[in-house]
Amino acid sequence: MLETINRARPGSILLVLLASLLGACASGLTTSWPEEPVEAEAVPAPEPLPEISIEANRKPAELLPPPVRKTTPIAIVVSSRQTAYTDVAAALIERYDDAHVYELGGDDAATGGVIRNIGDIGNSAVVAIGLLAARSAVSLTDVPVVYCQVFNDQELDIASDNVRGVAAYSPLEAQLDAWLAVDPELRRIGMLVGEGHEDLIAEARGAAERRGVDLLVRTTHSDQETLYAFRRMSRDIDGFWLFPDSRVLSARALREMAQIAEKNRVRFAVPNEGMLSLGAAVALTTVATDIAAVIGEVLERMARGDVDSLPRLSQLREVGVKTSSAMAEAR
Amino acid sequence: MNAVVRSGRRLMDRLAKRWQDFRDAGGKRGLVNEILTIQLVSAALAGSLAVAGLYWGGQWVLKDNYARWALQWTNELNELAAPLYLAEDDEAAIRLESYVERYPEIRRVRYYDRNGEVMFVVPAAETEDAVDPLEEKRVAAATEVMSADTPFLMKGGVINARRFDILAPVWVETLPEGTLFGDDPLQADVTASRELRGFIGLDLDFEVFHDGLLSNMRDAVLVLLVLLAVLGVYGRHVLRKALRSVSDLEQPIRDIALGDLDVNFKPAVHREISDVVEALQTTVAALSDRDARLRQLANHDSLTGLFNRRRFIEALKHESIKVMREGHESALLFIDLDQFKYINDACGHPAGDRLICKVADELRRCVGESNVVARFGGDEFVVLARGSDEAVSEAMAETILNSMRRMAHVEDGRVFYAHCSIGVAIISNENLYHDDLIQQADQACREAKLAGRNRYRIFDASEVAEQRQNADVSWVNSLREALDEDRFELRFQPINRVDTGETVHHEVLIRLRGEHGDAVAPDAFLPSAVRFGLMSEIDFWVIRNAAAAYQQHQSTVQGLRLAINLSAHAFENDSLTDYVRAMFEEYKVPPNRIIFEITESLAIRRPLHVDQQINTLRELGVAFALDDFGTGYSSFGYLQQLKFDYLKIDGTFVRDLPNNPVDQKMIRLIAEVGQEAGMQTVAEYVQDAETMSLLAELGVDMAQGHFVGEATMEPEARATPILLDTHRLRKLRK
Repeated sequence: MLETINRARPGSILLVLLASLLGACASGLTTSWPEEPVEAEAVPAPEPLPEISIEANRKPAELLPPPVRKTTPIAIVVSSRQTAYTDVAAALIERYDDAHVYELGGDDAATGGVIRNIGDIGNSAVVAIGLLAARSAVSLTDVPVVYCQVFNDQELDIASDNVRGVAAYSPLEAQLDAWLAVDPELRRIGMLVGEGHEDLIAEARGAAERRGVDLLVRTTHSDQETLYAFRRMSRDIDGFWLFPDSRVLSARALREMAQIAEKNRVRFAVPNEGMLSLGAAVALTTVATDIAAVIGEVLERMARGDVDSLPRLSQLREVGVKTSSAMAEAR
Repeated sequence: MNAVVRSGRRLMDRLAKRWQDFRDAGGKRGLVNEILTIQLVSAALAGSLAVAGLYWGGQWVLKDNYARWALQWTNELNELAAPLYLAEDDEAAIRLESYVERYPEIRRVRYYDRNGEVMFVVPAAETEDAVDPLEEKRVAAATEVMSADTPFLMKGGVINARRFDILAPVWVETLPEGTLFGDDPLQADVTASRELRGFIGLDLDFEVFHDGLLSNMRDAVLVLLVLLAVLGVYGRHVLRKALRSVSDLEQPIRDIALGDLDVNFKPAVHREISDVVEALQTTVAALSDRDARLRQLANHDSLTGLFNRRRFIEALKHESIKVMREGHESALLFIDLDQFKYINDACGHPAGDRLICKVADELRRCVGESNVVARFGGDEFVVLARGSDEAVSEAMAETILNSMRRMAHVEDGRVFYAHCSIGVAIISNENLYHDDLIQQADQACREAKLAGRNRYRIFDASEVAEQRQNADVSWVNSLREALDEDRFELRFQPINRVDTGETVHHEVLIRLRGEHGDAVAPDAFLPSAVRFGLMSEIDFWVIRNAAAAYQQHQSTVQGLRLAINLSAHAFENDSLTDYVRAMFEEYKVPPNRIIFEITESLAIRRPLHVDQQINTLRELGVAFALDDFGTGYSSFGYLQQLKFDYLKIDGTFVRDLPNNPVDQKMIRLIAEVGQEAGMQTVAEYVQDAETMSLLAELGVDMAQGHFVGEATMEPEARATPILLDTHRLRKLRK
């Protein structure tokens, strides 16, 4: 299913963006990704207020979760036009009629002005997608702010209770189940993440332990160290669980890791489908509609004033699974 | 020790012998050694080039390998650089030490912080103090190659590089936030942020590799030298074997050079030498053919194909030796054709040649194959009758005579019979010397001719014959000495008119002054002079001395005129006319004061060159007299053609003139014909007054003889007494 994403300019200039979205799949486990890149015009600096209007070819109502209808507008701020961000924005538009999408264009310097304008407009809530958007939006104190697609949210300086987050990864238990489903012989798994992910590590350890899988975990501080650690552990594992911690990963490290993994027959699980080209066995991804749904719940509870019971980071419920062609043939 | 000394001496002796052989060969180099030297030098050069190429190629290969190793190590530098981002990880340091120990080429690893300050050095034995911090320039340069394709700096020599200094930056990268959520981070156009952590320096030393290379090359050179030595010995053996075919040619070629054409060439294995052998065989065949042709020319008469004189004498010598050894007898037959000159003069030389060939064939047929026939001279043949005693040789001579008598030769419609005279000499133990044998057979042949021709004579070694033979032989030397010592003399016999008795001219006669001062008549020595080829010289001597005599006596004898005899041999000399003219000029002789007398046979034959000489002399003013007319073969018809001034009637017609009416009629006829032909006649051999008177009656103009006047030392004008009552006188008075 294709949807059109239009980006709006002040003064009624809207840029219509076409995006392809894969809706909820029939199985409910896999997600389709945009097949074509976003068609875009040249975009000047976002002064005074960039707005993205997303028109969606809506699915039949019976296939979609019941929408939450609000009367006040919701501002959706995306850090950049990455698919992972726009997919979530599109899913949110599906849920909210009066939602406006704003893009920061990846420009850290311009975020301050954009966020102040969003605050002045008087939105009922702000959804920040990506680290850049989240880092800017947490400065807003008058409106509820929910961020998502931020893996290293521990780096965010969250000062008030009006800010909550949604996990950037699918539930680890579900991920492991899905992985084991496609690779039942998996026995020893390695995992390398940067500092500040103790919760993640604990969750992973618990999930592995419950499934009788050994999990080797190491915290690294750079891509070099990640590579070094991977080289060391690659002889002792048969699967590697890659998390999207960009602080300790680089293209060169990923390339070498892929070579080492191939040499030592280590199967990779990667966090997005595009990384299957590394030779990964399976992609264990988040699901945009799942993220949007969780965001909706969080916003709803925050709107009700049920902030204290809300965890700082709400977990997702679904996992998207995509196996590599080699793995599919093997199965 | 003694064995070593002996070996050394043997080696020195061998070298000395080689040197002596080299000098004996005229300092010429041996082909085997030269080819071998070229091969070995070429091989050594190629080997040297190969070793040099190997060395330099090895250098380049090593350097290339060093660079690739350096790249590999650099790729592993990230791990080697673990201490830069795992400062508290002791295991990493230990692992690094272990890694470095595995590669002896890595002498030292230096770690610098991002400012170029030394952090630590591996191996640990090296102190940080021994390592200088990086200069700012190097820090900047190394920082620039961060994330480049070859992310390191390498310092080392271009040639013979053994040590390298590698400096590489160590950095960490992070992906932009969110990259890992969606798109392929390797494909996405994302710019990683990089953070320099420090530098790592590698000191590489490939001395061991170089030493190994040089050692291997030394071994290769040694192997090459050994191979060259082995190839030299083997090559020499192979070359000598290959060139043996050339050496085998030496002896046959030497034999050929010495004239021995009966040589055998060993067949050659190789194509090139085989071609040479074939060419030599062809050359030998050609030489043999030419030799045979030369032998044929040297040993055979070109006209008849019979043996020539030289070859016959060889055969005669061999036969003499055989006779001496075996004691049997053989015979030598000397054959001379009778009147051969007649056909030669009458029909020309080609006709004579044809007759000679016919005679040769006939003789060959008569004597059989076991005997030898040879042409000895113009019309002279000899036969060596092997194993023939006197009786057999007489039979053979008779057979030859009969055969020749039957043989008729036709030329120009005229039939000629070539009769011959044969002299036989018997070869026996007492008579072996070939010169004697030939002389004896010749002598016998002449006797046969004297006896009437067309017959044979067995040589009779009687005393008279022997004396004659000896005299004949001795004449040769005497004549030669007489010419050289000017011992000939002239006599002057007057020729007077028959009617008036007055002296008209003198015939110049020659005499040989003997050892005792006696004068020898020409009949005694002229035949020998003719036989031994001295006649022409004698004729020229007479011309010169007659001219001188004319100059001497022309003032004392009024109207002096001299008649000089010229033989046919004088005309064989092309310079006759020039000589006569020169003598006339030298002695101031008017040509019209000279008369040349030639024989009837020469006049009739008159070959073209003789005719031309006679004409030239006549134009000069000289008169000619035909001598001895009546004895030869000419008919009166010839007199019409012959342009002579005088006709001298042979003495045979005059000698018995008063008593022989036939002679009288003949002389009358000759006188009348001479008169009609415009010639004056001279009668020779006039001995008395009666003959003189009769000659006048018969119409002869002049007379010569004892009655007219003896030959004197000097010309004298002495008139002959004339009988007044002769018929002739009466006619004159009338």
